[in-house]
Amino acid sequence: MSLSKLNPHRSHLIDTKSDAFITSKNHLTDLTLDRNRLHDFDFLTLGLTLTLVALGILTIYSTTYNPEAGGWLTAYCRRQITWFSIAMIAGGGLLVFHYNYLYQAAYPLYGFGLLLLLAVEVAGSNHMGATRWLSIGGMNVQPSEFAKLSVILALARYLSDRRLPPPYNLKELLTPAVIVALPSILILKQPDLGTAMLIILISGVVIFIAGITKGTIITIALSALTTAFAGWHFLHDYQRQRVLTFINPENDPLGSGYHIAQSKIAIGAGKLFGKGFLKGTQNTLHFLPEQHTDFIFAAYAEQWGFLGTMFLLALYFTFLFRALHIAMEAKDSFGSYLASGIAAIFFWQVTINIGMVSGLLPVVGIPLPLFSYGGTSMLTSLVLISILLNIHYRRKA
Amino acid sequence: MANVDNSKKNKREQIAVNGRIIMIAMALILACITLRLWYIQIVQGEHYNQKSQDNRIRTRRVRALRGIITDRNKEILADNSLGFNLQIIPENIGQIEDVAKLLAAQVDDLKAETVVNLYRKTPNRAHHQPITLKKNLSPNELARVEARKFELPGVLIETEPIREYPYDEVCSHIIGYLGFINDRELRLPAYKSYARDDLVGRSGIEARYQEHLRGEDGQRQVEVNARGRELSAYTTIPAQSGKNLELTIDIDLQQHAFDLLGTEVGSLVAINPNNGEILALVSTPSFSNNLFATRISSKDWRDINSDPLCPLQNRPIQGRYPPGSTIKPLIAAVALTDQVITPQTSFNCTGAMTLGRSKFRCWNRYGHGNVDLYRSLKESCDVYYYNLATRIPIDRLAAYGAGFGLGRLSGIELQEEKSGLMPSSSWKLKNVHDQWYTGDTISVCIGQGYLTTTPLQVAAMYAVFANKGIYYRPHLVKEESAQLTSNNPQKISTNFGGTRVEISDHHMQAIRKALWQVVNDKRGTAFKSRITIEGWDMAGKTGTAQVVKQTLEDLKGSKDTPWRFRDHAWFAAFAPYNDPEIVIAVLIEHGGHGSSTAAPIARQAIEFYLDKIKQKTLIE
Repeated sequence: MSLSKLNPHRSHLIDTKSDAFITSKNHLTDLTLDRNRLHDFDFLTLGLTLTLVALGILTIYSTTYNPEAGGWLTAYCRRQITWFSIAMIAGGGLLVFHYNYLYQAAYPLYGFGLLLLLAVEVAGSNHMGATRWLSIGGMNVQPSEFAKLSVILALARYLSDRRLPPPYNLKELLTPAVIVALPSILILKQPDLGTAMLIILISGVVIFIAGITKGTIITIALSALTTAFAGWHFLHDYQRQRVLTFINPENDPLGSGYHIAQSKIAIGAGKLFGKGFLKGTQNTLHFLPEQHTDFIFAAYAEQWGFLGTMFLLALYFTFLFRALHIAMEAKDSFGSYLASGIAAIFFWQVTINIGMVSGLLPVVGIPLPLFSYGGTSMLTSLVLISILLNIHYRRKA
Repeated sequence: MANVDNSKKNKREQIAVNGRIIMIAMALILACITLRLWYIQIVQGEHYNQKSQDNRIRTRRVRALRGIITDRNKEILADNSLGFNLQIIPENIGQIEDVAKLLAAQVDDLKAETVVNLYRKTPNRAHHQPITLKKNLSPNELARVEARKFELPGVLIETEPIREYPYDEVCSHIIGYLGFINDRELRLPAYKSYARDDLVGRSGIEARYQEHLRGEDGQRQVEVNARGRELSAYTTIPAQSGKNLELTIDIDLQQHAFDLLGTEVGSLVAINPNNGEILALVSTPSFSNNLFATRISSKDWRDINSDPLCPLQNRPIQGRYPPGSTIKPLIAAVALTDQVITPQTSFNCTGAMTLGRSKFRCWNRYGHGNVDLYRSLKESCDVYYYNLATRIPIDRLAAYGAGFGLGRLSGIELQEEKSGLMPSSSWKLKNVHDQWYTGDTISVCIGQGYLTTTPLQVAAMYAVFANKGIYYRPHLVKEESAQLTSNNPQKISTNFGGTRVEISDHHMQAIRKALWQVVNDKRGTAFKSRITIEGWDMAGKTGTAQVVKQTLEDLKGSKDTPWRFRDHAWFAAFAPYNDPEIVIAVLIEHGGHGSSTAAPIARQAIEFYLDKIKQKTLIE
């Protein structure tokens, strides 16, 4: 094995039947922060992550501070920092374990994810016409967040296990389609169109990277279009409203169009240089809706202008290209698929969020990862990045 | 094994190739987002920046206080107090149904559906403008709304000056009332400086001096947050209060006269004969103009409008009545001036006079015997005036009448004024399409027929006898105060200067002497209402104006006549006789005889007023 040649000491641990199946416990917990191996660690990704989180906390501060209340940090900032710390510890801890544990746990985790979604169906709490939350011991968890990870895990495992050489045709993609469809349908029933779409889009990237035939691409594209037209029929009123509002936001400047209109005003008002930190009027006067969560990008854009948004985009896309690079460099195909899935999660979230606040896409409740206020999002993001770093760190072994 | 390796190799190749494709796709999407942001922030940046400014700066109107109206002694007749209006700003309302329900529970006569409908009716572009739900909240309502303010985002309490009339119905006809500007008016160029929800004078002084009283609204630019809460004020253009107005009315006399008229339907006009200043202008029944200061309820409006006695009518200037015998001094004056008679010329009254085939009766069917000028007025002999009528052409009467203010608008500062009618031969030809007959003149000479006058015109006419020959334009606004309005757009004449009538002094003296006898001679028709106080003696003339043609039998007992067919009672007088301070004309609709109903009221009003100015001079 070429991989064992790179690391002769551990060649005996590599299972030759599957390039990703490793059983030795010794090997799985091998991150002994060896000085000699420090250069294998991806400091670029870590640095980008920390910069984005720091900028996010700064922006949360600017959107939630109250000049009269005093104090050098707002409650939101403190909570975000707390969540970040917890997430860092969790992510750092996960780094110790070889990501192949995830390979082993992929299907059980997928099953667990489905169970959680079913539990929401049965016992979820209703919030604004949608049942998305599950209350466990006083904490509200959103199983659809977890579903994103469990689906790409299951996909990566299935695709890496597959002996058949890619590209795959439609028939060969039946099982992956079921893997994606089961949680998607459950999430769609909540109803959470945004997350369901997100899972399908993320899975699409993973399957695309694994390789599909041209005929399949055309077939999927055509059927997606048909589904879109037919699906309109099954959409909830508020979902249809969102789509309609997206097409013509001026139609309803006080309903959902209000969000887009105000957000565009905030972004545009930043002009080239921005109004300056804490000088944004759209956000300090509360014209921006959900300005510290889903619409945080608009608040940032008002304060830092075009230069600021370009800087932020540069950070995100460097991170995304880096993540894809990690996928391409991974030791095994499971790592590749997993890393590309993680890259896809970030890519779609960033694209949809910025597209949404800048009026390119309809309003769906998707936060800007690493940036928006929110514990679940922060935790998920950092765990995903930890997996990414894990795959990168172990790319040679 | 080879198969596996093949697959593995294949997978790696696919990842490498497809990963690059994904990278290219990402780069394309990055380009799209960059273009979008460039468009919003650079190309449209200024546009959105402006919008963000507009977003937070709201212009709120600061209402100007309306000018205060006072009487001649600076007693306030129209004032401003603070009213609290309930408003909502649609864009800051969350769930309108919830807010409406909550508000309806706090505020009386406010239905949740009304609020929801108002909200729905508002076009989106006006969603940042407050909508007024109810004006002038009661203290209880105000307290209840304020207590729940935190549950009611987007609900505002606006303070607004509201008009208050301390004397209410006592002088509501003079002051008038306010009403909301309507859509039709808003489109007119004359109202271009007005806005919806503005109150404008609808009658009386409030209407006539609208521009003078209204002042200029100010502006306050405030920074608001998305919930409509005002954070800070930027610039403030203070409101300019309207100018004050001082009236010639003596509110004490007005009040006293109002009380004297009581439940009678009628009017009382008091004028200072030396300058035409109106001291009192009472119309009964009256209405409360305070009701109009806030949005009048439809029930109140219905009640006022459907009242058969028309309380909204300003009788002293709008009521056109036959003047009855009160016209006789004018007829006598014209006869004297045209040398038809001398004061000593007598006519024999036998109770009636026959002209052609018609018989004209005197009110005294037994006749007065030989009647000269003094007796004709003192005892109000009709036959004497029938004789004059056959000798004076109607057009001469019309010409003199005009000099005394008959048949034309006096020019009082109330736009509701009606002119009454002083007929002439050309008038009859034009309007009745018939020639003038002597019979017509006979009717006119006893104040019936085509001749109609308003109580104000009668008062103004008697002011000429009081001041011995000068006609002053009766007016309500003090000259000094009125001068301030001379450059205002409503172009109200401030020329109160008197014009001398063409009656010679000694003829004037004769008429005045006769009028004195009416009240102070034992046989005078108003002897019972004489003033006995030394130096305050009154001169005047009673009048009884027929509403319907009466038969001889009706004259016997007018108590049985239905109220609406009874005669109108007139009394016009001035006092003190030698140096008159006040002229009064009283008209009681269907009051029967002037001597019994109208004269006592006039006497008491005159005594009240003379006493008041006497007290005043004593203090000074």
